[in-house]
Amino acid sequence: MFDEFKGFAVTLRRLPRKSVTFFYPDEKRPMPPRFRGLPSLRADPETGEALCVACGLCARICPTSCLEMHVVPSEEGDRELGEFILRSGRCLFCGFCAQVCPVDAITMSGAYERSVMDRDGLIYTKTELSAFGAQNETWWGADSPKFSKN
Amino acid sequence: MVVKSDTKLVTCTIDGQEVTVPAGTYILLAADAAGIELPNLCYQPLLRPWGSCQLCTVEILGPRGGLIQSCATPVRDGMEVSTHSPAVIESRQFVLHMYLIDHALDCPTCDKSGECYLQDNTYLHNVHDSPYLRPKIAQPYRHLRETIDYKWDRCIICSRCTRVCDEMIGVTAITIAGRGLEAEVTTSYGADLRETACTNCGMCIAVCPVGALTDRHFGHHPWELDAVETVCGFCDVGCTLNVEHNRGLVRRVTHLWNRGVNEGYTCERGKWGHEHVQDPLRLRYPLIRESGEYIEVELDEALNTAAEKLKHYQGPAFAALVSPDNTNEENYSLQQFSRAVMGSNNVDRLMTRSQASVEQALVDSFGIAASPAGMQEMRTDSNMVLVVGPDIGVTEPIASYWLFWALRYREVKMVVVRPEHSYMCDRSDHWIPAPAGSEADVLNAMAKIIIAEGLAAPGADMETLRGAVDGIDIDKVAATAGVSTDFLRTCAVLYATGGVGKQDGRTEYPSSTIWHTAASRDSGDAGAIAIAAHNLAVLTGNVGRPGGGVLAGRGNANMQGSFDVGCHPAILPGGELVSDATARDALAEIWRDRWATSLASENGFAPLLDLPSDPGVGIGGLAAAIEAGQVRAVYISAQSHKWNKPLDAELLAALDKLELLIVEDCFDSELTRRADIVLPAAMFLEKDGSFTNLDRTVQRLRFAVSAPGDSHPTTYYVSEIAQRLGYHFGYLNTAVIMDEISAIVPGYAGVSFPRLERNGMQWPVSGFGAEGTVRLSIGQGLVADAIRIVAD
Repeated sequence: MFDEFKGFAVTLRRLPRKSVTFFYPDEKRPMPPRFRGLPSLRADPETGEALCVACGLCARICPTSCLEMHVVPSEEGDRELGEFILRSGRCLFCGFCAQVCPVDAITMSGAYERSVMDRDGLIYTKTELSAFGAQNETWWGADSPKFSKN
Repeated sequence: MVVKSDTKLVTCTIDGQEVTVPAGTYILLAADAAGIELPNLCYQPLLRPWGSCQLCTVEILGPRGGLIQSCATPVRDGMEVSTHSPAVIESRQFVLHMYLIDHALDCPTCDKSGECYLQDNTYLHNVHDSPYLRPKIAQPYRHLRETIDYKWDRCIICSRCTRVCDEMIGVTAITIAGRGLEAEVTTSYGADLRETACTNCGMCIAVCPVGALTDRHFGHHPWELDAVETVCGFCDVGCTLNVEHNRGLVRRVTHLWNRGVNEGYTCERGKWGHEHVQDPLRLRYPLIRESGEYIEVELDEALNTAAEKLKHYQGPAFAALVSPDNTNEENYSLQQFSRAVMGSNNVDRLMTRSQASVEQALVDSFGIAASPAGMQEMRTDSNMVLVVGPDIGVTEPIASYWLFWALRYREVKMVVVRPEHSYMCDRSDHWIPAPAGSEADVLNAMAKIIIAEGLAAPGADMETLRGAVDGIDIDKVAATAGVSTDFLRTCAVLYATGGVGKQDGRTEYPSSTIWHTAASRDSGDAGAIAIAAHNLAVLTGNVGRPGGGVLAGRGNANMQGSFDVGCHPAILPGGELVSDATARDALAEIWRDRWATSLASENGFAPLLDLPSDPGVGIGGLAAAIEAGQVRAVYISAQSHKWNKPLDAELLAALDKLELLIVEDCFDSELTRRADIVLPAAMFLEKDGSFTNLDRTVQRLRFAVSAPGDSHPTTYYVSEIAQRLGYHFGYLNTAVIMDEISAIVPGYAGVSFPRLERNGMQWPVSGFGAEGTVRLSIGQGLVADAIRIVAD
């Protein structure tokens, strides 16, 4: 008899606290800033210009060769990103591409909802990846207020 | 390369190793000979030492020793050198620190990253940080022209680019302006390179040790590319190219220093020619003309139609024209198809009248359709060069590099006979601006002067020549050419005496070479120029001497080889006449077995057991033969690239009258617009085989990228068509064809693909294991009776 009250006391203690579960997918859980979601392309927060300098190191370091980049010579004489293809079905989410980038143009975004109806949907292009990550901060930025221990 | 000088040898000690080298060798090269690689940024093979980068510093031990630049210090006897002493390392690290103060360090986006000399040396010397820190000075890219960019912050002012432009290319389009921090590579007054003498050869990009001068069309990293060593197919110098490609496309052409006939240097055609090969306008699929319209068809259908139609034209009604831009193996297959399958000796090269007459002039003068001299020997041994004909810097640019090089480093004398002005005319001091059409007269007048001065070689057939030059009025010729008679006399004496001038009592003079490009002339006197030039060489006894003789530039990449493998109406592969029954039988013996055993004759087409014995119609007589109805079907294998000379209008007009014209071509051209069946041709980067260049060097051509669409080499087309006619070539690969050629053609007896893997070989190669022949001399490729003076 007493044991039952003891057990109920735990329930009563928990009852006023905030719930740890989420009504997914109605409610989205904020991901920690170092969560390794879909690699995406950042833009300059002030000018909105893409940061990528098309050096190709990300494609080079990718352990599964899921990144493919096409470089075109730019008008200024430098190189420019022609196309950037992420075959995310192959991606390990290791984050090497974001780490190796000399200008922090790649970040691991929080995007984790990647189910698609056909395989081609797993291939992301430059425009799509920019849309994901344009406003994101660098991936290894310090603890952000979005993420609090609960 | 032939080295004939007797130089003194000296011995020095490098890092404890004893090295014996010729006196005057720089320490850098002596160390290289000992297997010690010294880092350097500004040293470039074949150019004079500069000593600006200070990275090749070594220490000379002993009381009078110290730190010096190894690239510019010759070895002394008994010298002791340390290449890795602490003082040396410290000095190199200091130099690297200084370079890195302003160096952009944008390695991830720099084209040179991965093969950058500065990057390599920074790692090699463990330079990880710099004690000299200040904000870097940066400048934007400067577009020097449509292909070349300059980035100042990467430049280390080593002057490699300006030296190569000045000493090798001979145009001095770029130079270093300013001093210290303001120094930069630029054109005079900062003009666009297109407004200067720049030939767009891209050598400044090739020699740049860092990424300061970059190729604007290139956007890859070196490590992403696969490389193939092959031979350029756009002129008959036969430059070795390192073709770098990935994802099925050639991305750039780089340079293998000290390799091939070009020692790594290339011209515009070699450097950017791959863009022409990959032109989107290339023909991709076979076309068949049906009621005036060209319809794209399946390859199989085109070949079936071709075979079906060709059945009606066995015998002399068929003619084949091979392309002098195709490989030896392709040309050999096509002439075999014409002789063994179609039973026709009407096989020749698709060439201009000038090219045909220059070839005839070579046969008339030397008894052999080949240049007797060697190109490398001209550079290293000749003492005087007579350059005749259209601008060699346009027709055979690498040859002009060797001329500039010889002019500067060996101080050869040079006489240029040419109507148009070029930079060679200014540098040679002896330019005879003879107007077009009078070059032959100038050469004949020089011959007359040489005879009058008594400088002709003993035993030269002066009587014949005297008959030819008697009518020449030297004063009048000089006046027409716009020079004084004395100047013409000086030039003639310079040629006859190998550049030293007439000396009393002297009979032996150094050798002189003649370079003529008469084959690239548009007008008709190419033969006369060539004959006059050959006469001069024979008159002065220069043929067969080291560094002497004649080099005839003949335009197309494989003009020489296509003759050697028998693409001639009267000459079989191997050099025998078609009327020679023994030679014919020997060939028929090899070719006969390839007929299918059970083949009935059909439409007058039957297996041939013997080869035709009547000499056929060559390119010169083809137009007339078509007009007369003797030739009714023609197979043309062409390569209409943009550096080819236009075809004879008369021949083109005659082609309209043919019953059947099959054309293989890589671009839409005058020929394809007249064809009944068009087959897309593969170009030189897309096939395997061998080329024979103007100084008879057989070189290996390697497959680099796939041909667009259904394009194939000629060998494929003719063997497929022959297959449908019941004749099986049965060649598994091109190496087998070369084996057959070397069994048939005596000059190629020792040539095989495994031997060509190492280096090119100059025919005649008498047998397996035998060396090539650098220059033809009597007994080695030439017959004494056949060398003669020709009076026209």
